[in-house]
Amino acid sequence: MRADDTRGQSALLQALHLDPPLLIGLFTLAAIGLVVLFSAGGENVELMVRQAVRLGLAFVVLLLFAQVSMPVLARWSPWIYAGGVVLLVAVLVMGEMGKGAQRWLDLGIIRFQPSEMMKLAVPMMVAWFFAERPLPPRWWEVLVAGVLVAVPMLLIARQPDLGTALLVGVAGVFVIYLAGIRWRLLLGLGAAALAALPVLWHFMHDYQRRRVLTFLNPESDPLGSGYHIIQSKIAIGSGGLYGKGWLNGTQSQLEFLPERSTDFIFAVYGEEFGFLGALTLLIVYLSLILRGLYIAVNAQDTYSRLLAGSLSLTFFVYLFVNTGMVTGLLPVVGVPLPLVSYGGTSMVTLMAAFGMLMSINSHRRLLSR
Amino acid sequence: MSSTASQKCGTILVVLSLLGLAFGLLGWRLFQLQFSQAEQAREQSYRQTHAQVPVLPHRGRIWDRRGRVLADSSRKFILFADRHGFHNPDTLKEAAWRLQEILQVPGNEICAAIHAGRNPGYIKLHEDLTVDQRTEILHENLPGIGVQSDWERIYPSGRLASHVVGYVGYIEDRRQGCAGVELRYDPVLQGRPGREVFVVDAGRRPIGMALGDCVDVQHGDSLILTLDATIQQFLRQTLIEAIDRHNAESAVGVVMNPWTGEILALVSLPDFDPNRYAEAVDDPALPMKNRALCDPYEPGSIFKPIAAAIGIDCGAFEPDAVFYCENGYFSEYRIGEFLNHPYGRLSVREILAKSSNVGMAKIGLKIGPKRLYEGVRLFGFGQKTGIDLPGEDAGVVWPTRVWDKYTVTRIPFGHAISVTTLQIARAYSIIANGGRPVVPHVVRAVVHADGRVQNVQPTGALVGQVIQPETAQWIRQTALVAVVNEGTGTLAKLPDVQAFGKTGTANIARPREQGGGYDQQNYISSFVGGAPADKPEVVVLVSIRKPDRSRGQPYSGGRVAAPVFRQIMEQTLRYLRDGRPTPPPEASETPPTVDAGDQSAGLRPT
Repeated sequence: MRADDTRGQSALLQALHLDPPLLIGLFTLAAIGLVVLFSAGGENVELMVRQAVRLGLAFVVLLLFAQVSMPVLARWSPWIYAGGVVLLVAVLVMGEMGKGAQRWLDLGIIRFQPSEMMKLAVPMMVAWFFAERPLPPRWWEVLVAGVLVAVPMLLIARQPDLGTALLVGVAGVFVIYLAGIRWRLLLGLGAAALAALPVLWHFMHDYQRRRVLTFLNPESDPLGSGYHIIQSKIAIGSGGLYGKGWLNGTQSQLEFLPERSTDFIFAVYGEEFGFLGALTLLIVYLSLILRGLYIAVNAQDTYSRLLAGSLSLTFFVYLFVNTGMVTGLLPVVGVPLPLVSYGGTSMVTLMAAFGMLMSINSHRRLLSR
Repeated sequence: MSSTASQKCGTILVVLSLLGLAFGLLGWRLFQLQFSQAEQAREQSYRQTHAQVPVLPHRGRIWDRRGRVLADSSRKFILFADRHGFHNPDTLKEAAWRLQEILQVPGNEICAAIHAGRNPGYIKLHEDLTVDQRTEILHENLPGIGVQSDWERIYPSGRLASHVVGYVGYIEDRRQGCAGVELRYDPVLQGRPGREVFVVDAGRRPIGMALGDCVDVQHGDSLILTLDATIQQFLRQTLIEAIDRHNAESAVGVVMNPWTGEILALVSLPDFDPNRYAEAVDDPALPMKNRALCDPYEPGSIFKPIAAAIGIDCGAFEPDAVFYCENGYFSEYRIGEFLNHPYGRLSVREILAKSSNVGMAKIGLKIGPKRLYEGVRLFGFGQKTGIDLPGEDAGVVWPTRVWDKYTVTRIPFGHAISVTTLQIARAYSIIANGGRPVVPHVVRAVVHADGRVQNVQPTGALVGQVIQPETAQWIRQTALVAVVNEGTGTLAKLPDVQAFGKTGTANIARPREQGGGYDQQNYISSFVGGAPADKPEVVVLVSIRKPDRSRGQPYSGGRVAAPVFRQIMEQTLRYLRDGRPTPPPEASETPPTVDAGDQSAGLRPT
């Protein structure tokens, strides 16, 4: 009976193209996120409910994307990409001002962030580009792929939204890397990137430069830009090995920690649950990433493999950039902690990506039978 | 195919090691923050989530012997800003705007003061809020703004006892007693500050109290002085009038219980208002100087009875001995008489009554240097009296090895020796009480913050006799009564009580840089004595420096100081006896009680 039940359940999951390990990981993260959010938001139930609703919506998106098989997605890739680029241009031309940067496109009913969509569209496009070609790619193919990545990157950077631009770029570069790039080329690109740093500095906005400088020496301006990092480090550090306990984090409860329900939520978690709690959370993230990479390795076609690998690694980069920022390893970049931070847009994108991963995994099985 | 396979393996390896590296880095970083540097972070966290507010102790009160308040502390509220509480210019502006409405002070001045403050955590904005302002500000709950309670020292009687009570000032930003009892008893009065620790939010607004970290405040103990404000008032008023009358430079007065050493009144003029002590600090008239303690001088004739007592007590001569006074000039020792009186043969009584310098020189020669020196030391000259007030001078008594031929003839009439007024008052107390040593003191009891009263006993050698009771009695009741009844001090005579005492018109030694010798124009006019002569209740000393002798004005101790003595003595005795049965007629050796009973009135625990 029981065996039948479990088989029945897994059959249901299979029918829905869901992957149990990923699902468990995602639910764990979502649960942890809601618990921390309750504390970070000052025990605001409404805030938590809103986040739960958002998680539910994002899960629906995941379900939808899990149903789309890879060949279909591959065929759509260039169109989605092209549409995204057009939208980015539209945003630049007529986008409205939001937080001093033009990121949103008002479509009447919903406000839409095309740059968010490009996080998925760029790796899809580059994977599509490499899918039908012999690998490893030749140098001009790498060049074309590079342009495909660079165009939306630059458009997003113009908004200006350096954080998203870098993440979009990273997603694309991962595909190029996974397509199998020669070491010499990789080294050359690395050197070029290093050489580009001063140029990048030149094009940076003042606030971006300040962030980098603050990262290098947060104590130089303890009440200004360095305040975030200092408070975050104090919060995490004062949590110690075991943490101060849920709802007992003084740094966050007494409002010392800025952005505590969004970008700096990891600091709240670290303060209240300590080193052991933080390690546990990192392990959950790591298992999600490893599962994603496992799916990539076992993917049956190049497009799926490249896309799965890129999405998993991008997810990792999200995590690393956020936790690196909060712990003071990296400069302050507005990247939320995936699936835990309060906020909707990135959550939808992430769930869509996990939907694709599940689709890659489940459709392979269907085909293999 | 195999190359792509190996490349695939390579890629997987690179990716996995990248992941391993990144997670290792994160783990290491977390370990660093939450383990290695955790203590540091906890301290920082504690510091910014807790605000310590010192709770300043109530400084003890100072009462006179009948419970009248001489010094008190009243609460006042201080407004301060903590710059850590302003995270952006707007919160600061908002706070300044609200304070402008409450305090009626321009907001931009408040902003400027907050910006200019040296200590970012504590910038004083207002020293003395009213209760209403305080309530309103606390109600606003502005970030970065706090109200602290402090104490202000007040002296309700102002100048009355300024030299005994002293004042509280600042020494290097630390508030403490700077003179008088306030200085000497500072550790007793000041108490120990406590600490209130609040849990505060990022705006430095208190959320709750960290009771475990609070330290209770220990309020200071209060003091009951031996001083009687009423007598002090008589003394001060009378001396002020005398200074005005004689256009004198300064004056000192002491009223003392000869049996216990309790100072009932002590005045040094000019004096100062301890409520506004800062005005007195740089005054060229030196109003802060307690001239009774720290202004040694050559006493002149008021020293004569002491030398006579030493002579009789050591058996150098009998009280009825007679000395030849060289008809006004003792050429061998170059000593003249005051106003050149050509005295012939005088008894000891007459020498004192007429204040003969030559007679005293003869007495000195009879005693001899060794016994004279010992006697003078035994009377306490050349040593501090041990009074519980700061800054006392010991005076100077040269050791006999540096004496010259003249010294032994000079000391008996109060030259070649330097003493303080208080030492003289003490010496006369010894003569008044039958030869017993006393230590002058101004603090009678400590009232602990919990209400316990603890008497203060003066320390020092209080055993034995300085001179025989008979000697003291003879000097007092024969020689010094004669001074008042028939000698230089007749203006000190009281109508109904027999007083005793001695006049003094002391030369003022010129500083060495002005050529040394004595100032020929100015004198110190003194009178010291007690009453009643058979059983003295009080000893009174009056000393008036540099009375104006132009246009034939009087300047001698007998003319200037004696009437003042009489006034003070009369008022004091009347006050002390008021409402009390007259003391028993026969003189016993038990000291009369001076305090009029109700010392407990006004002694309330703080």
